[in-house]
Order: sequence, then C-alpha cells, then structure tokens
Amino acid sequence: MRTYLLRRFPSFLLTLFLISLVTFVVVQVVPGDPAQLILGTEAPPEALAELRAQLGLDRPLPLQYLSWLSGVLRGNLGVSLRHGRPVAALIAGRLPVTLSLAFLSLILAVFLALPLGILAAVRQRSALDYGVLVFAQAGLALPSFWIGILLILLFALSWRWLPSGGYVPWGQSLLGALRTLAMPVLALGLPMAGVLARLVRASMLEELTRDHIRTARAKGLSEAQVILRHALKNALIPTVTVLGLQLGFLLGGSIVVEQVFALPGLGRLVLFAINNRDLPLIQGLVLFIAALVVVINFLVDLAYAWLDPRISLENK
Amino acid sequence: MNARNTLCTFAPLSAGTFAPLSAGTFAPLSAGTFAPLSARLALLMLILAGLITACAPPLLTPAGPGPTITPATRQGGSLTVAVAADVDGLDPHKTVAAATFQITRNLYDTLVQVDPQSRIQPDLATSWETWDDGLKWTFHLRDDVFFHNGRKMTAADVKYSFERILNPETASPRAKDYQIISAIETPDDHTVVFTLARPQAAFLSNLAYGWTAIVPQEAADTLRDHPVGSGPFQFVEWVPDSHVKLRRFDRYFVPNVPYLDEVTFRVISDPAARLISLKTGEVDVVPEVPAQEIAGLRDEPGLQVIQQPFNGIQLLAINNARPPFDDLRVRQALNHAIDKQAVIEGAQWGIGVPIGSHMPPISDFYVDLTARYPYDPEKAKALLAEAGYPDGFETTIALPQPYDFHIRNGEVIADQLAKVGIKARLETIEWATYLEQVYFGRNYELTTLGHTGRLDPDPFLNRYVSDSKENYMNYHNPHYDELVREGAVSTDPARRRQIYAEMQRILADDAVAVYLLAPLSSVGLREEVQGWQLYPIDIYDLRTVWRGGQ
Repeated sequence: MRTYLLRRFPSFLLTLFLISLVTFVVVQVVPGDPAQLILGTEAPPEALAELRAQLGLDRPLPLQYLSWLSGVLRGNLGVSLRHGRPVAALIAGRLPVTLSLAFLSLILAVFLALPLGILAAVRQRSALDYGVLVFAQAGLALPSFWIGILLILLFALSWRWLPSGGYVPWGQSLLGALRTLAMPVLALGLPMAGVLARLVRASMLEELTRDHIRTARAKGLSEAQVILRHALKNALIPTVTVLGLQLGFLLGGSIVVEQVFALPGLGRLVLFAINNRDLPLIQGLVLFIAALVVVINFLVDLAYAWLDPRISLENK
Repeated sequence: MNARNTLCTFAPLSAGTFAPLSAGTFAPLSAGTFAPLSARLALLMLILAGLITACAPPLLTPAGPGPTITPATRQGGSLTVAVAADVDGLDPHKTVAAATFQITRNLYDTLVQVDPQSRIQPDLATSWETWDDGLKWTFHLRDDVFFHNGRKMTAADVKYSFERILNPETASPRAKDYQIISAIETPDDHTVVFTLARPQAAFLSNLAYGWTAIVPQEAADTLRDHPVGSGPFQFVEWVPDSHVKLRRFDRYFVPNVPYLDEVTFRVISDPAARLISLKTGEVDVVPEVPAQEIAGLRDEPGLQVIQQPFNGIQLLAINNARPPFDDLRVRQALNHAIDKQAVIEGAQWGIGVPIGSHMPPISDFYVDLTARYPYDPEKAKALLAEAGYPDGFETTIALPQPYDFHIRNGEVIADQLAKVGIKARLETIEWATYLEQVYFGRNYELTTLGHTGRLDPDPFLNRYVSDSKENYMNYHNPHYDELVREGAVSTDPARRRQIYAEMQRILADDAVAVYLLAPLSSVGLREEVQGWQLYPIDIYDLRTVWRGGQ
C-alpha cells in the first residue's frame, strides 16, 4: 500500500505540473486583457499600464509562471486579480457548497441506480426494466440546467415547497441547507442516476450468466445471496470506474447548476475567473479541481482492490 | 449669486420643457410614429402616473432639501432585489462595474445627484456657484451629514475623496475624468472650492456619478469589503456570489428617509431563475427584465412592470476603414436596407424606439434624424450598384456573447441584408475576446453593440474623434473633431445645443453606423412595492421605495 502510494506520487505531481502549464499557456493564447476588463473600455492607456504593473502582468511570461509556481510550492496559490483576495481563501469559501452538491448528488445517484439497475437486470424485459431504460435514456439526453428549470417551475413556482435558489450554509440551518440544495441535487443527481442504473443493469446481466453464478445457485444459495454477494460485487467494478469519472463530470456540471440555482459555489467561481481572465484564480481552481479528480481516481483504484482481490496494487 | 439661481442656471441637463400632463392624455406607445419629445413625456407620464397617484410629492424636489413629510405607514419592512451580477467590491473609487454602482447609491452620497428627469439636484452640497469663467467652482455643504461610523462629514472629507480618486496609487479607472481639477481648497468646514485647469462643460454632472462618492479617510483602506459612507443605508454583509445586505441608517440627513429597514441585493445570474423568484415572492424587484419576458410579467397577478426610455442606444457599427465600407454609398445602402422597426419587433419584442443618430430620444440634446434613411431596399440596391456591387457582397457580423439582445439584432439584420444581396455571416465572440479583437483591435467588418449614455453628451459623442482609443468604427472627420473640442469646453448652453445637434447630423449624413434603436428599461416588481424610480444613470435608489399594504 505504502509503496503503491510512493509509486503514484511522482506521476500525481507531474500531472498537476503539466495541467498548470497547459492552463497558463491557454489563458495567454486566448485573447482578453484582465486589466482592460477591470478598468472598462474608457480607461486611458496610462491607467491600464499602472494596473498591469500593480498586478504583475507586465513581467515576462516565463517569469510570471515561475513566480506563480514557486508560490504554489510554498503553499501559496496567489491572489485573485479581480477579487484582490488569496485564491486559496476564495476556493475554501466556495468549497462547502460544491462539495455538498457533488456528494449529495452522488449519494442520490448511487442509491437510485443500484436498486433500479439490479431489479432491471433480474427482471429483464419486464415493465420495470423498460422503465429503467427509459429513465436512463432520459438521464443521458436531458441537460441538467433544463431539469433544473423544470424543478424550479414545479417545486418553487407551482407548489411553493422549496426556495427557487440561493444557499443557506449548513452551520446556519441544517434544514435550510437541505432545502436550498434539494433541487440542485436532483438536477445533477437524476441524470447521473440514469447513466449509472443502465451500467449496473448491463454489468449485472453479464455477471448473471457467468459460471460461478450457476455454481452458487447449484449450491442452493438463496437468490438474494446469489445476486447481492456473488453477482453484484463483480458487477460493481465497472460501476465504480464510471462513478470515479462521473465525479469529475459532477464538478463540471455544478458550473451550470450553480448558475441556475444561484449557488455560490466553485462552478460560479470558475466561470467568473474565465470571463474576467483572472489568471491566478483560473490556475488555482484548475489545479485544485485536477488534484481532486486525481485523488478520486486513486480512491477508485483502492476500491478495485477491495472489490476484486485478484487486482493487486503492488507490483508482483 | 444666490443658491437657487445657481441651481437653475447650472442645470444644463434639466428637462426644461417638462410639464405635468394629466395621466389620461397620452397616446398608447405605438412606436415609430411619435415625435421624440412626446415619446419622452408619454413614457415619463406612464411611470409618474403610477407614482404620483400612489405617493406623496417626490422626495427629491427641485426646491432642494427640506423636511419631507411621510406617513408613518410607509416606514419599515424589508425588500429583496434580484441583481444579475455580483458587485466588484464596494469601494466606489476602484471599479467601473455597473453592478457595484447600482448598489452603492444606497451606501454613499455625492456632492450633487441626478433626478429621474435628468436634472442635477443638491445632495451633500446644498448649493454651488461657478466663477472665473467656469474655472472656479464653490460648493456649500450640508451641516448635518454623518458617516455610518458616527463621525460628522466635513469639507476635508470631500477634499480627501477627490484626492484619493486622483492619486495614481488608487488606480481609479475614472481618474482621467477629474484630472481637470488642479486644486481643491476648503476655506471652512462647509465649503469646498475646486479650481479647474480649463473650463469643462460636463464638470457639474460629472460629480453626480457614484464613482465620486464621498468617503471617510479612516475607513478608506477597507471600503472594498466594509463600505462606510453617509448614505441612507449602512452595510451589513456581503457574501460573494450570494448577496449584499444593507440596513437603514438612522442618521441619514433626510428626515424619515429611507422607509425600509433592510434591503438585500440577491445575486441570481440566470434570467429565468430571476423572474421565477419574483413570481414566487422570494424577491420583490427585478430591475432588468429582458424584453421577451415583459408581456408575461404584465399578465401575472400580483406583479407590475414599470418602463422608461433607457439612456443608451443600440447600433450596427461599421468599420469605416475597411472596404467596401470605406465607400459612403455602401454605408448608406446598409442604412436603407435595414428596417429598424422590424429589428425592434423581431429582436426586441417591440420594446424600443427607432433612432437616426448616436443619441437616445431621452436626451435633452436629441435631434430626430429617423427620417434620414427610410427603409428602402430598392434604393439600397441602387446605391450598391453605383458603388460597384450590383450583386452585393459577402461580409461578417461580429456578435458579442453573452449579450443576447445584440445577437438577436444581428440575426434580424443579416436576414434583411440578404434581401439586397449582402450575405452576412454571423460570428459570435465571447466578450473578453470581443473587447480585444473587435472593440480595441478594430478587426471586424460589421458588429452589433450598444452604448450607454452619460448625463452630458460629450463623453457619449467624443468616441468618434479621430484619435480616440474608442473610435472602433475608424471614423475620421477633422470638422467633427473640432466640434467635439469646442463642445467640451463651451459654457454657453445654446451654443452647446447647436454643436451637439450638428454632430448628430454629421454622423447620420456620413452613415458612420446604422443607428438602430433606443431600448427601454423595464423593472418588474411585486404589486405592493411602491416608489421605485428610474434614473438616467444606472442606479437602484431605495430611498424612495416602500412596501404598500398587501
């Protein structure tokens, strides 16, 4: 385990380094001047030059990148051009919203997808099976923002059960947080549940035709034991892989959903940073999200080993 | 010179002709046919009809400061306003963000202010006079103004605030508008004297913008996150991308104002979500309702919509330096080929009035040139043939993302140009890229864009000066340049009127752009919200707002 961690670490660092380099280059190549965006179209050239100097944008590009990098190595993500605050503090302030959104969506998706997928596989070609397939197809086809607007029309406008947007921090009111997160979680979690349910169903179907299932049945195990202990555990391997990938998509999807539900999360910050060409903020966010995704993938690898003891993380 | 005379003499923007009409007399707003003045009056009346019948005399009367009698029933309550974008900090001297100034009117005061009829009114200054051929300006300050930190405001704060704007270290994006100030003196605690390097016609109105807010020196370093002003509301909290909350300042210098105890500006960037939250009652006001939603809001029980001509224009800009648009006949052909009324109907849901030059009808300097290029595709074709393009040509219209109203204008225009043989390709460009490539890079052929007016016509029209950084249409006309120079320094109102009228005519004659329309501002409110006023500058003023009986 420890050697595995040690082996993975250099590639982890290399990945982050390359991502930061690519981000920096892309932002430089894309037109748009942060100083101009801050000062507006009427700003005289002297004011622009002054602001660029204050922001350090007049230095040679390699120097800008290296000074940013050396800051990161010392644990300093820099200061946002537009917010004038440390990038790390900005990310920390938005993180609870997006993490709550992502994890609750994930939990919703898993808790819907597993039973639906298993039942659909066990009762293949039943009405329930077709229902699950339609649900999955809809999940793939319907964009989250559209589902979001529909949910608002239903729950906020017609029934007046939930607030149409905004965010109440967990610390302020547990119920308030749940009420403000309920619709965003549905908008993000439902499509994902559809995708996962389809996957669980397909893996289960494949698994149920395997020899060891026949053996298990022949041994006289109950159908529940056969399905849950013998088939499901194997069927989960591809599901977990996709789940890990989906977490990355969840962070992306939150950009759109946070916009619709006026949630002050990381997604809104990403959009703001890009629209304002706020380079330190873009860099910090991309680095942070990339690190998060890499860590999640690592956890997925660990999960494989648990699900299938034949998969070993150590070198043979 | 006595104060009241000064006021009358030096209110160049006053809508002098404005007289109350009975609310029943104005015609319905069939766009296109009415004269500009009646358009303005009709629309103002539309708003005032609602306000006057429902409320006491306007708070900000031309007679200046004085006790305002307000029924106790207006006092109290809280209000939530949905705003489209978060503030860019709350330090008024360090940003150009409209989202900030929409809110800061409630936190800070300025020396003078503008009323809904575009007239300059006293604010922190009770009166003012100018002498020495417009080089010296004396302002007499109120004696009863307190900052939110409890300290009394004096002339030293005014001096400090302007010095702060002018200090290069502040990097105030508006500093250049005030660099004309060469000295600021404070003979006593209630008097400020500005000395200008040369006369400036727009000087007084320049003091009415939110970016000249008077701030206390002791709080200056933290204004961005903890604003301290002397305005009607004081700061409670700013949660980025969520909301800004203010509460009533009990020592505001106008007695019994404001009415509301608490105001929250909630950031809801999605336009659909913004309107839904108005319908559910989670917010009370949506200050900028998109044109396509207005009909729907009007039909909704419990809601009301108020409208006023917006101080700005939308146009199809032409790159005058790039062939074939360097040929006047081609530009004139474009003007004849575009049916402005169809653009208003097709792209703006009928919310807007056609214009003929670079000036909205709401401006006192407006000249009606809408008849200069009537819609006439045959004439457009003839002009194109004359210019050597009998079969038309291909071109590209750059459309700024995310401004869907400009994008829609471009779509309708492309369709109309096709009818005279001009094949226009549409290219949508994200705003930051657009600024660099199209606006400042001038790398485009045609583009749809809008320009927001100021209180004075000079900053609005001086973009066409040959060497202006913002002359993105590449217009060059020495005579025009001369007129801009004269207009900026002239202190003779009659001469200025002549100058700006001539400039509008020149722009129309040279067909520098296709001047499309002046939009309307539309505000959606819950029925019980009363007293909301619309201004010629982009502010949300909560002083006059109260909650009626529900």
